[in-house]
Amino acid sequence: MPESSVNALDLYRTMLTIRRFEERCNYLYMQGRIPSTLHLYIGQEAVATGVCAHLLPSDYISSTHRPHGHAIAKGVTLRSIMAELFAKRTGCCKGKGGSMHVGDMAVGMFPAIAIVGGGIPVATGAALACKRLATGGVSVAFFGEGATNEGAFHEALNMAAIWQLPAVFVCENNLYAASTPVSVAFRTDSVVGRAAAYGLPGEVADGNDVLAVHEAAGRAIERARSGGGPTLLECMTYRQCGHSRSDPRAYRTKAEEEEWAGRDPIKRMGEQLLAQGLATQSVLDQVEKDVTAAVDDAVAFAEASPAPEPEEALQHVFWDEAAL
Amino acid sequence: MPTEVLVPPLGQTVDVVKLVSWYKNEGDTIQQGEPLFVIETDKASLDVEAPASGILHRVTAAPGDDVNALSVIALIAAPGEEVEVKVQAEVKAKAEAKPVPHSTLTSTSVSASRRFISPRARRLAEVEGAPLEAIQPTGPDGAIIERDVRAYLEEVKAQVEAERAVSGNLFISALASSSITPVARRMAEEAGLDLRGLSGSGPRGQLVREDVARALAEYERTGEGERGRSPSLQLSPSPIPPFPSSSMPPAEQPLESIPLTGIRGLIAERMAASHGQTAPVTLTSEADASALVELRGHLAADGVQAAYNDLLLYFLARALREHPRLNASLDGDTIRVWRRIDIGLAVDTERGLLVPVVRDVGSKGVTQLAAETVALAERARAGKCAPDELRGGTFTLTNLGMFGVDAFTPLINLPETAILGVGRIKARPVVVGDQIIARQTVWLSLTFDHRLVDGGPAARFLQRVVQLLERPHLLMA
Amino acid sequence: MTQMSIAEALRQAIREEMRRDERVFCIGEDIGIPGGFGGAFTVTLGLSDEFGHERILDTPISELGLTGIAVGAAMAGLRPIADVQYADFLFLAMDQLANEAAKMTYMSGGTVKVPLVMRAPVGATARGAQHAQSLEAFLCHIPGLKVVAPATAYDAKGLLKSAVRDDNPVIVFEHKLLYGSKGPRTEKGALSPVGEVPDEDYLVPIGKGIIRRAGKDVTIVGKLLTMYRALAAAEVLARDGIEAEVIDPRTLVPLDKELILESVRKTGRLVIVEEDNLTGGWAGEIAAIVAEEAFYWLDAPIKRVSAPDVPPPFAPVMEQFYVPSAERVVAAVKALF
Repeated sequence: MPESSVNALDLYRTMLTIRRFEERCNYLYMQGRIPSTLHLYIGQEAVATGVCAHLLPSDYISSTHRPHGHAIAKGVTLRSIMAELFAKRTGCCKGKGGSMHVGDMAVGMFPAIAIVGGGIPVATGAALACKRLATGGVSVAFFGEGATNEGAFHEALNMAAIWQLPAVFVCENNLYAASTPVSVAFRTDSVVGRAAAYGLPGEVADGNDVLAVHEAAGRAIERARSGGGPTLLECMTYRQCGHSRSDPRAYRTKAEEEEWAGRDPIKRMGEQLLAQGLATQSVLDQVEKDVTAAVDDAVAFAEASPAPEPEEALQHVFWDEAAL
Repeated sequence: MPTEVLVPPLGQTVDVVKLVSWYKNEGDTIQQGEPLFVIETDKASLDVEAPASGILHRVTAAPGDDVNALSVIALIAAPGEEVEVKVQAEVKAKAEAKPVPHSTLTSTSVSASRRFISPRARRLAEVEGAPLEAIQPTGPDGAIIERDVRAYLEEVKAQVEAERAVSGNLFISALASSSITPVARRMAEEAGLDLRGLSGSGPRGQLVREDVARALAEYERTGEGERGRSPSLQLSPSPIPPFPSSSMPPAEQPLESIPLTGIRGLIAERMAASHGQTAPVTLTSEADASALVELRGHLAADGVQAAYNDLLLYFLARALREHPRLNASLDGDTIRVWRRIDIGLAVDTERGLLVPVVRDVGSKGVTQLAAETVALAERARAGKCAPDELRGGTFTLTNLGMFGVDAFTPLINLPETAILGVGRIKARPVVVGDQIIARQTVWLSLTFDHRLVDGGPAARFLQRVVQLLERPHLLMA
Repeated sequence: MTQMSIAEALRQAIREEMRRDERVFCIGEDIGIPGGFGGAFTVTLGLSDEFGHERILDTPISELGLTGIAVGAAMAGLRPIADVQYADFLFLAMDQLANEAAKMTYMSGGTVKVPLVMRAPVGATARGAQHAQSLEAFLCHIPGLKVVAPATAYDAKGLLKSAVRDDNPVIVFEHKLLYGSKGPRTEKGALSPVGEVPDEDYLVPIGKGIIRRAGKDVTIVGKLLTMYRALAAAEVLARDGIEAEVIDPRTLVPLDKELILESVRKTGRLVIVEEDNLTGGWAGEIAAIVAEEAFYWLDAPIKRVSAPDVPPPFAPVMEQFYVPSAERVVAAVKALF
């Protein structure tokens, strides 16, 4: 069933924002204007978008070293993310975190955790808090298939299941952990089978179809919110860019990349919108313009922002209520 | 029966001396007559010989200890002889026993030439001006630690106290009985009180018990004594003064820190006293020294090696006999004009200025004077003068001619009346008739205490000295 | 006032804090199981009767997972008291303590707080090398964590309460031989100090050490069990005329270094005694601080009395050789004079 037109266009707009933002970051990095390497989300936009569309600011997400897409989908402003990448004081982490730790508790995103698998128990703990405090909130952990081999994944899923926590574990299986293909890291074909081992339901969705993700995520989140316990949602997708900016991707074939490019989630959504009459080309063009303007604005903001003082390195080691 | 090793009495008035060092250790074999230990008082140090042969036992005085004259500080026994324990009451004990130092050397070895000192001790030594070379280390690894610096400072303090007591006692003992009552004398001696400059309230200015008691109370109260008493070293109490918060040592470091103790301290005290108490006036006169030079040459030709000082002593003795008021001392408020002429001769030594006294100059010829002054100067330079040789003069002679000095203002050697300073003998232009010719001349500088004698008599005395110097044949007249 | 063992004092602290604040809960292994131990050393015994099994939350054997859950729960508004049964197991949880708990506040630019407590028992007790380590030094080295080590019943209650109320991650190190656990969990050779503990609410501030014994000749700093070794050594030294000042820092991070510096300025000598391996141990940090900031007050080199650089051995005679004894402290002090 097609979604309502507003909803689908929003999904499209979010995905396009992520895509254009990431492309711009790549460009700026190549120009030497961003001091650190980046782990770009290009190609996986449908997963973050489809899941986060169901979440409120009072719901939590944890993310990974590849967090820009999750952050944008969860509602962290483009300006604050870009300023953080530019190492400015106006960044979402005041320049203390950098690309791999963007987040904003005001919209329910923990600073991203770059230790692979490290965010999974943390998100589980947030789910525990939601249940204990009866907030009605849910907690979503985003992670790649590589993280499901970390002990933290197993311990967290086990406990989430035992205590029936309001958690959703979203595994973005993009077939490669850095350069390691799944065939090297798994005996099994996929991750979803691990859910049964711990007694929670598992589902697989096409990670490059935002509507499919949206639908599956909706079910899992509703299950969690209503006290039905956690779900493992495996989204099959593909990282169209390299692992980081210093990755020439020599471990993948051109054929494979082209094949997945053909299933680009944004292109597919755009075609679908046009085909189902949910948007016209001029609407899509306008969306393109709006997104570009928003990204331009974020870059301009970041460039105009002040850099932090060196001595600020000494601040924020401990919590200081007064400094907030 | 073991032989007692006693501290010999030094001089007529000295009670307490410092044991400087031992030549032998306990258990060593000793030969009668060989030097056994060294003692020192005031400015004199002496070797003491072993009174018997045998093995040295029961050494009860350590280097640096103050010991009483005639106290027993060791025993000499025949080999194998039993030595019983004897209670030593006289020898002053040192501070509490130090714990045995424990070496904590691991892999690094301690080089014999390198001194280690803990930071705490170094800071204390800097602040107090204690010279590191003088401090005995007792800490682990042979290091100087805080207690060693404190021990040194205590020693110095005790030394200063003792020396002041000694010099004070020397003065007291020189006082005639009419100047001080026996009770007052004993009180002052026991307290080590310096009475110089103190006036008495008894008949004719006699010092009585009340005077001494008052002076003692004043000293206790203020820590300062009569004029002429040197202030005690400022020794800090237990806590070490705080460093600036950056915990760095002060930037200004003295090149050397020399404590005002020992001979230096005494000289400082005496010079200040002299300068402060007397009314010094210096008269200068240039004398033709040709006859003097010739005289010396004649004597040498006949085998009498005399220094200019010896000749001057001879002239002075005659002049002083004729002008006895210049051969006098102030005793309380009485001028004592002395019968005998004892002239002190200033000698420049490594340890400071010493003034050994040539006794009864008036009865001695130049040959004897020359022999005596040579011996005295030698002993003074070696630090071996007996205390009695350094006190009790009636006049003083000081010669700076060998340093190119012409005239100067010597300070009176209290309690004397006058002192004669001699400059260099040098060829100078002199007017003879209408001519200017070169003659050997010498400047004489006479400082006299105007309280005790006036300018006229002093000048006449100096004139006579110049006359005898210029025309020694007048000695026959 | 009540006479309490350290285990009892810790239990009382947890009880009071959980009554005081709904958000406080315990998470660990074997802590609330009916008929169970109340944690490895009886500290949580009986608490699940009062607070139920959601607030005394038993976990599977998952130190990494439970610590991460505690971190997430703390960031999302709860105040967890997590624990491991032996401090040696902290290594399993190290990623969540070092990379997550310690750094979230900093990486977020001060917008996220992690009010987490992690309790861990240290000390050699004839169980072998993997249940015996004193590894406070590892945790002291990570910026963003606070570390406390209470050695008396009074401090145990007061410091644990302070830790719970602190909005930062606090590691609470306890010593197995100091708990005074009773019944089947009694430790052989335990010291089990019992002390007066006020019944009312009180706090011992984090960051303040205490002088256990005043003296003027040498400063001895010890923590947990070795603090008692230092006191025993001080008694022996007093007979030989050496008056030792024994300092119990109570908090390791942030250290009350002024207390130690002031003492060393007075005594001029410092011995640090710890039940931890010498190299890279906590004593080295104390020694470096004093050498840097009170060098000119030192009258002797600084001495560390630590366990040798070996894993903790099993045989009791070897273990006694390994753990610093009062005799070793006495010998170390005497060598400084």
